[in-house]
Formats: sequence, C-alpha cells, structure tokens
Amino acid sequence: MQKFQKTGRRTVLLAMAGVLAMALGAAAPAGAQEVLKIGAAVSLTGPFSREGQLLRDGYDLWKDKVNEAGGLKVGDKTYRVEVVYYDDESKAQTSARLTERLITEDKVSFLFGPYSSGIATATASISERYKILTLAPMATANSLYARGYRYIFTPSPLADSGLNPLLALASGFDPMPKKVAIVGPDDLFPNITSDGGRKYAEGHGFTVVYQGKYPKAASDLSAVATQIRAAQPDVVLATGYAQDTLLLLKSMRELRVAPKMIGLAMSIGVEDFVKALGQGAEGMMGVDYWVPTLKYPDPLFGNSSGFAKAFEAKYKKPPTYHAASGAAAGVMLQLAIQKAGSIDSTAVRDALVGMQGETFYGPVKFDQNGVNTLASASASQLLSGAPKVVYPQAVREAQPVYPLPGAR
Amino acid sequence: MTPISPRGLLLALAGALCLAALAAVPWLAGNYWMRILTSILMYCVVAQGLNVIVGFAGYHAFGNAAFFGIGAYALGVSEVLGLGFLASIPVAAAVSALVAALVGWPLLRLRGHYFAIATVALTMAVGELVTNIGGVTGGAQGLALPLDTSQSPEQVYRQIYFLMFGLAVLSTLAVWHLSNSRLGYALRALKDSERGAMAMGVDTRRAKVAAWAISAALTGAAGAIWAHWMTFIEVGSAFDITLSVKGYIMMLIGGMGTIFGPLLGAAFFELFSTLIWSRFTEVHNLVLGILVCVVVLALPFGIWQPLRRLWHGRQGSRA
Amino acid sequence: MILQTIINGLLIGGIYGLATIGFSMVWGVMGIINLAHGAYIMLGAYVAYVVSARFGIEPFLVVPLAMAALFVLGYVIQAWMLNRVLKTSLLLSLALTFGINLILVDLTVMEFTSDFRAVTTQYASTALEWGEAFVPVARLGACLFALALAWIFHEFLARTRSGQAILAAALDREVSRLMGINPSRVYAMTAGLGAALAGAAGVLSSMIFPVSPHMGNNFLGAVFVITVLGGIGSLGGAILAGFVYGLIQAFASAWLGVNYQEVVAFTVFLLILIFRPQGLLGKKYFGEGQ
Repeated sequence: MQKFQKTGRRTVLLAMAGVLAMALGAAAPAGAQEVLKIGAAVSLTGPFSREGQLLRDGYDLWKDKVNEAGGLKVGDKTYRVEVVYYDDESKAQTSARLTERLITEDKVSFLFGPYSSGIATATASISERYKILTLAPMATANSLYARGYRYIFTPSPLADSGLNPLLALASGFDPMPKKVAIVGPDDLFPNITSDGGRKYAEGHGFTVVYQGKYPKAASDLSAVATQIRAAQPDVVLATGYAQDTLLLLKSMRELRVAPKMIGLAMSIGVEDFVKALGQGAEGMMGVDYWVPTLKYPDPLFGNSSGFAKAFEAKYKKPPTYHAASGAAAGVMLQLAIQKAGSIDSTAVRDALVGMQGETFYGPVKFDQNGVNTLASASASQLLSGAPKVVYPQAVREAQPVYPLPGAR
Repeated sequence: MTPISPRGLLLALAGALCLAALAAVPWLAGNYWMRILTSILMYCVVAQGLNVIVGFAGYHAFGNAAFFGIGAYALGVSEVLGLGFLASIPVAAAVSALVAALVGWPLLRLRGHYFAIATVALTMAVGELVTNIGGVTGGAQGLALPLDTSQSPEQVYRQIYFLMFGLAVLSTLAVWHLSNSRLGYALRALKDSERGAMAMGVDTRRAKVAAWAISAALTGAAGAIWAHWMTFIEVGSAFDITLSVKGYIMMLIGGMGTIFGPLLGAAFFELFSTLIWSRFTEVHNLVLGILVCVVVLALPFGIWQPLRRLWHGRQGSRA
Repeated sequence: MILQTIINGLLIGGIYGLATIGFSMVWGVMGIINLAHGAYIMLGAYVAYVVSARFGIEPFLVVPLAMAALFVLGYVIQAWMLNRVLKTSLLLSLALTFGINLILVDLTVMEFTSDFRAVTTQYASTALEWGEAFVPVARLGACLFALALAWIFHEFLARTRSGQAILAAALDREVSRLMGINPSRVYAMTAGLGAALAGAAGVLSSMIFPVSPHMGNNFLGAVFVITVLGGIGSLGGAILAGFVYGLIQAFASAWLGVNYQEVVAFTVFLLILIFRPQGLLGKKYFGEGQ
C-alpha cells in the first residue's frame, strides 16, 4: 500500500510538472512578430509620378514577398515588414519634410530613397543628420556619393556613365556615326549624365555638335528642336525624364528632325510612355539598369524571371528597372540586416559596406561612399513595339537596327 | 509722465509671460511643437518685414519673397565658401538690404498696382538669375549646405528656434522703434499723401528705399536661418510667391501698420496651416485656398481693430 | 534657322495674345489682377481633354463649349466674390484671386491627378514646308483660330451695347456710372468674357502643350508681361504684344539658350515698367493711383 502511494504521488507530481511545462510552453509567444518600419517618400504625383509609382511598386512587392516568407528573421526575432509611404509630389523640399516626419513621427528604422537625384540630395541631408540608413536605387548622381555621407547607398550605376552603353553601341556601327547631340533638362541627374556622355563621346571618336539644356518645367521645346535640327547630328541623345522627353520627341517630330539614331538615358520600356509616343517610337533606344532576361540568382525571388512573374501577377503589367531596383534594394537591405544581426541603422550600414553578393538585379559590392562598384547597364531598342536588349553583346536579344527608317 | 493704467500693466504682464513661455518651449514642449513654433516665428518676421513696407509706407510689395530667397542663397553660398552659420546671417541680411536699395531706387517710383506687379516680376527674375548663374549657387540642381554632424539634430533645431525667436523679437522692436521715429512719421506721411509729404520737405525717395531695405534685411535674415534649417535649398522653394502671399494675409489678418498685429496674424494663420497640412496633406492647397478667400472676404481690415475696440470697450479705441 | 525662329515665335505669340486679352481687359476695366487667370486657361485645356478624349471630337469644335463653361465660372466668381472686394481695397483682389487659383488647381489635381495629359489629333505631327522652315499644322491652325476669336471679340466690344458699356467702364468708372451703366453687371460680364477667352486659349494650347493642373502658372508669367507690354486694357495691344513676346522668347532661346528665355522675359518686363509703363498701346491712367 505504501509503495503504491509513493508511486502515485510521484506520478501526480510528474504529471503536474508536465502540465505546467506544457502550459508555459504554450504561453510563450511563438516567435514574437514585431514590426520593422521602413519609410519611403516617393513621387506619386507630379512630373516624376510614372517613375515614382514604379519604384513604389518595387518596394511594395519586396515587402509582400518578405512577409509571405514569414517575415524578416534577425537573430532570434522575426519582424513583419511595413513600409510607410508619403507622396512628395516630385518636389525636393516636400520630400525632405516628409523624410523628417517619417523619422521623427513615424519612427521608421530605415528609409527607401525617392526617385530622382535632385530630390534625394534634399532627403539625404535629413537621413544623414539623423543617421538613418537610406537605400536609394533611383538616385544615381555622382555628387550625392562624393560628399562623404555615410548613410546613403545605391545599387545602380552612377549617372555619369548613363549614356555610355548607347555610345559604345553606336561606335560599333558601320559606317560609324560622327555627330552627336546631347540634350536634356537642367537638373542634377541629366546634367551629370550629359557631361559624362560628352566626355565619353569625345574620347571615342565622336564630335559633340550640340549640347543643350532646357528648363525643367518647360512646356515648349520647339526652340530646342530647332537648334538640334540646325546642328544636323547623326545621333541624338536625351538625358531627361519621361515627361519632358515625350515633349522633346514630339517637338522634334513636328519640326522634322530625323537623325539616324535616337537614344534616351532612361528606359524605353515604360508602358504608357511608349503608347504616348505612338508611331515613330519604333527604333528608339534606351538604357536599362536591369532587364528581365538577366540570369543572376536571388535569395528571395529566385532570379529575374521569378521577379518579373511575381510583379506581373500583382500589378498586371511588366516591370521596368525602376521597380526592379526598388525590390532589389529591399533584398539588399534584408541581406545587410541579417549580416549585421540587428536593426540598428549604423550596424546595418557598416554591414552593407564591403558586402559582396548577388541579387536578381546584378552583382553588388558597396564601397565606403555607398556606390556599387559592380553596377552596369545595358541598351535596348524598341523593335516591333517591344523593347529588346541590343547591347552588350553578351545579353543581346536582337540585332540593333541602324540607321532609323526615315532618317535624313 | 503718464500713469500706467491697470489695463496697460496687465497687457505688459501678459506679454512678458508670452515671451517667457516661448523661451522655455524647447524644454516644455516636444520637438514637433518646437518646429511648428519655429515656423510661426519665421512668419512673424516675414509679416513684420512686410509691415514696414506695406503697413507703414503703403507700398504693396507683393513679391517680398525675393529677399527671403536672396537671404537664403546668400547664406548658402556663404556657408559653402567657408563662413560659419552665425557669421553668415548678418551677411545675408546685408546682401538683401543692398539689393533692395539698388532695385528700390527705380522700382519705388512706380505706384499701386505697378509696384506690386514689379515686385512679383522681381522675385521671378532673381530666381531665374540664380538658376542661370549656376556654379556655386547650384543652379537648377539646388544648393546643399555643408552638414555639421557634430551636433545632434535636437541641438541644431534648438539653436534655430532661438535664432528665429530672437529675430522675431528684433523685428518687432524694429517696428516699434520705427513707429516712434522720424522715418516712421515720414513713411506714414507719404502713405497718406505722397505729394503732400514731398511738399512738407520729406525726402520720400530716401524714406521709401530705407523702408524697403529694412524690410529686406529682416526678410533676408529669416530666409538665411530657414536655409540652414532646410540644409538643402532650391530656387523653386526659396523664391516662392506663396510665402509673400501668406505673409500678406497674416499682416492683413493681424492689422497693417500696427506693432503686434502681424505677430497675431502669423501665429493664427501658420498654426492653422500646419494643422491643415498634417491632417489634410492631400488637399492642403485646397484648404489653404479656401482659408485665404474666407479671410479676405470676411476680414479685409484685420482682426486687430475689432479686438481693440472690444478691449477698450466704450472708451473707443486709442489710436 | 532665323525663319524657323520667327515662325516659332509668331505662332506661339498668337495663342499667348488670346490668352492675355481677358486678363488685360479685367485689369483695365476694374483694376483687378486676376491670379486665377492661369487656372481658367488650364480648365479650358481640361475641357478639351475630357471631351476630345472621351468622344473623339476635334478640339477646335470644343472651343464654344469651353468658352461657355468658363464664362459662367468667371461671371459667378466675379459676382459673388470679387465684386465684394472691389469695395474695400483693390489690392486685396490679388490675395483673393491667389486663393481662388489654389482652389481651382487643387480641385483639378484631386479630379485628374497631376499626371500630364495630351490631346492628340490626326494632324498633330504634320507640318507644312516653307523654304527651309517647317510650319506645324496644329500650331498654325491654333494661331489663326486665336486671331479670329480676337477679331470677333473686338467687334463685340465695338458694336454691341454690352461691349460699349465695358469700354465705357474701362475709360472712366465714375462717369460711366453717371451714364446709367451698372458697374457690377459690367464687371461680372467682363470677368465672364475674360474667362471665356482664357478657356478658348486653353483649348487651343491643349493641342500643342501637355495638359496638367499646373500649366496655368507658365501662362500667367507670360500673360503678365504681355499685358503690361501691350498696355493694360488694350485688346489690340494684347495681340500685338503677344507676337512681340513670342518673338522675344524665340530669339532669346535661339541666341542665348533655352534656359534664358524666362530671364529675358522678366528683364523686359521690368524695363517696360520702369521706362514705359503704359506699354505699346495703352493709356497712362489705367491701374494707376487706385
């Protein structure tokens, strides 16, 4: 009898211990889901709205993908990612104000940069002051990364090399075009691209017969078209944004300016831009920082086509490099956070410097100034209404058409 | 010596309390309110600057924003060239005053509408000029001021707050001094009747130019502090006509030609504007537009006069 | 290139002139500087965009509709708001019209977003050849249409009773009141007509320029200069000055670079104000001492 009583007590105690253990285990939260807030002041309205919205779509797709996969794991915590967006109306000062608001009121831990280097210059001062890491994939002006700021990074190639793929392609044509005209709005990115293009052109056997700028908000570019026509260039390169480039091309058409090659420093794949151009868009060339046919592996999307599929499924339209850059920036931030093992801005920033890796956007290695030393770009041409990569040789999808039909 | 009335004493006490409260804001209120107050104080200065040329001299300088922009850029360029923040502020004020004196000489010959429009054209012209000079001004790309990361953001904002506060006090003192000075009387005389003043021997031209120079100096100093606050300036926002219009409305609400009127107007209007911006970010222009219309239609003479009448009760207002 | 520059300047000048007539008349008749005038032009352009994009109608045919709509808008704004401010201080009108402008622009942004729109036509990119220069058909058509409208307005002012009342009020407000002319009605009428002409200019511009809620600001700068250049209140002056302004801008762009066209415009403006405030065809007493 006594033996049974001892056993019974032990069993009950063990059972109680077991139940207690289970209760404690169940009460402990299964991987506390805290929220990681990232701020983004982008141009959702105004002259940069097309590009700004695409960029936002990219950021958002990354956020969805990360949360779908269970969240961002940092050390032993998992964070649900939330991106807070504000519309900066394509204005630098507004963007700066909103950036400050994101930091001080919304208390974001990181920032996704705006579209346009000019705007980013304003916001960079704010993020630098508060020491908040900013990934600015669509702000590529060299001046931004030459000031010794520690908290701004870009995975895209810098502005001064913006026209190089087009010029490199042109130098391969036979007979090689000699006279180049470079034209664009008076703004940070276009100016740097224009001067960089001039230097490259002159160093590779071209003559720059016209280099002009027009006011950012100009509504009438017939004077510019007139001057281009007078210079009679073989190649016309435009360094502007979608909106003013559209106007420029229309003015050129009105005044019968028909060079042998027209190249833009921006993507030729922005859907409604192509539609707005209508007939006469055929044969136009553009520069891309990313195309869907790239083969780099990616930890989140698999590869470029995986990203493109996911984007098309969500947004019902094909992605351009603006969106790709946004999503890729997210992936890079994710990698850096995981490498640093923390969400402290400075720690993550230090992890980003020297980090080497690949995302679907391409290879990445950041230097002290936030520049991706392995960034590159390709050139595409609109053939039969669809953009096809024509340079460099390694990723060429189609033979470039030169000269343009109807060239004078 | 006139005895100080109990009302006057009460007023003085209220004023002193206000000043003390404002001085203690960085410790009493949070960063958010400090920033709003900095903005309000900036507009106080702008409104007082307008008060000098519009309220006293009667010359409607609708484009006074030109001097705000000049002050901003003068400080920006000065800092880029190596001169420190504090030393650059008087430089900016001086440059603005100089421009006003130079441009005022021919422009102040115009009357009424013509002068108003000329000042608007001036704002746009100077903006374009700055854009086209390029180089150290940054041109169309904007100007990024050198960033001092040794101070924490809180320290920087506190410094800016006190500078604006000091400037607002200074500008009010200037207006008060002006109203009792010879120049002030000359301005009021020529506002009433320019020919009459000339007949009385007032050098109206010099008086007007002096008034505009003072106005420009104050406005330019405000612009300078603003530029340092923003750390990045560009022509579109530094030479923004909206600033002029807001300052004008504030001066109107508060009462032109009075000493404290513009302060009241600035406080009320800017507070309202900020609340609108934070609540209605999407449609803030719309709400601002409606506000402007309502103010102009309902209170064309400002609220200071009716308030004063209320204060002084049956005794009527003491001019 | 000189011929092309001249053509560029003249064609755009015609439209600028039409856009300015309303502004100039309003200023001349009642001394109101209407900062919302740019918004009227912009709204005209949007009318063209909506009707033309939705129903595929030729933009030229949309002009009467736009004019009617803007006439009502201008009339109402004047009658309900600006007439009240006239009795207090004329310079308050500047602030009031600024507010109205903000409202109109923001409403447009809310409805259409800030995206740029275009009104496309079949002949949009065609051009006639003249010597070594090209004359874009759309611009030529718009310019001629603008001149026709200006002529019609001129006849209206000279031959109809309402027109004469407007001219009388412009010449001398006090005396016209003695002549039995109701100033409030005349003012509202003038404002309505001014807005209508702006609307027409807007429709014509939509065929050439991109349409956006802020396009009015670009116009306003030009309109100011042209008004003062031509003489405040003078219809002929507005048209003439429109051409002169177009030419100045075109040549400034060609010789100094497109970036300088604004600087040149404002410098010219300031010089006119200083040396010949009455402009080319205006009379000295308009707008002064009020």
